[in-house]
Amino acid sequence: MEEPKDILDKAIEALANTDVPPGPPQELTEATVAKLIEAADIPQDEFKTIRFIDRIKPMKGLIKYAAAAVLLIACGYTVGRLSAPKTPDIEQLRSAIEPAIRENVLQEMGQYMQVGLASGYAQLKDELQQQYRRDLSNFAIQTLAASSTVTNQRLQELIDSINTAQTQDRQWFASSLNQIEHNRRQDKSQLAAGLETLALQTEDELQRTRQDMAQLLIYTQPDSIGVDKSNNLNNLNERNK
Amino acid sequence: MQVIDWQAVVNKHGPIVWNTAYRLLGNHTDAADCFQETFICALEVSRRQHVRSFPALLIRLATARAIDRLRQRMREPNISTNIADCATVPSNDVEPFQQIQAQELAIGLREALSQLPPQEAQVFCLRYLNNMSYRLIAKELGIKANTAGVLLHRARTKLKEHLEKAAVT
Repeated sequence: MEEPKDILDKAIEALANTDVPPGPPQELTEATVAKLIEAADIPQDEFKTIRFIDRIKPMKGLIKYAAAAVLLIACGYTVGRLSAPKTPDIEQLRSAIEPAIRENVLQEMGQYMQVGLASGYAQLKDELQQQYRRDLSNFAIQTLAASSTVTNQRLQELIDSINTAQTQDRQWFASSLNQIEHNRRQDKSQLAAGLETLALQTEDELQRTRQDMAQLLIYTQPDSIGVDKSNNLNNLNERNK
Repeated sequence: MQVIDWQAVVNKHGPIVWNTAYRLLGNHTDAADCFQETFICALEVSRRQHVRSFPALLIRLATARAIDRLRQRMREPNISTNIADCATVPSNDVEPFQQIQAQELAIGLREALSQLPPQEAQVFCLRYLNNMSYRLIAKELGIKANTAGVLLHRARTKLKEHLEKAAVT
């Protein structure tokens, strides 16, 4: 069973399979060569001469063999020309083979054209399909990237607004708690003052009542009132009997 | 002194330098700058020493220049790190979501590489992005093969930590 690839292997595979456009461009190659020549401080003509000579040098041994081969070929050609039979009647030969050649040429031309048209059609179809897929893929990539960017922005905005609302709520709640605490302290102080006042007044009233009671107790009544009082007590006893 | 046909060198090895730079940097402008710097560096190296293998030298130089540029890009906070060319995202059979995921992983790996020590980042790129052997890496960087292995292990550990941290956040 194949072992699952780790992230590094995947990344290496992705980087190694990166699509590289065919290159280098011709302008870049020319510019690089020009820079190299400039850096090497060798003029272009001298450069070419050196290159030609440099190429000729290893071929020195071959030149002898080439000259010998040329001589042999020339000799062979001369011998062949001299020993060749007389040329046949060209007109007769042409009239004999011309219809057959023409027919063959027409057939081959027709076949070539059919094959060429068929292959051209197939190639054009393939190119169009590839172009269409490439465009579609590019469009999908761009759309995905754009949508992800917009989604991220919206999410960020939402998070910001939630944070702001939470901060405002916390501030409002804290101010409300402060207000309640302030009111409670105020009420408490007012209540304490009222209770103190009440206690003082009650104490005054108690003092006054005590004094009244004392005065009432030490109060001395006249005798007539005492007789009437004893009569009244007698009447009360009789009524009770 | 070694006589070098720079035009032939650029024509022959330009595509591999371009691929290396573009894959690491992810955009056309930086890749073009890195391309030119790589060949200028190669010229300076060829003046000092005999160059036996141009592809290996150019790949090493391109990787080093690209990593330098990545680090420079990360140091400048105003420059966005995700400046991939939109024209370079063709997909015939990959889902857009998977493609975005792959792009994010590639960007994360570039960021992580820019935070590694340069030698570790170079060893990592040469091994995993250019499929160079330990021996060749060691030869190009002038270190021992065992040292290259240690640097690669450290780079892997740090990159993995970085990527996992980035994935969690």
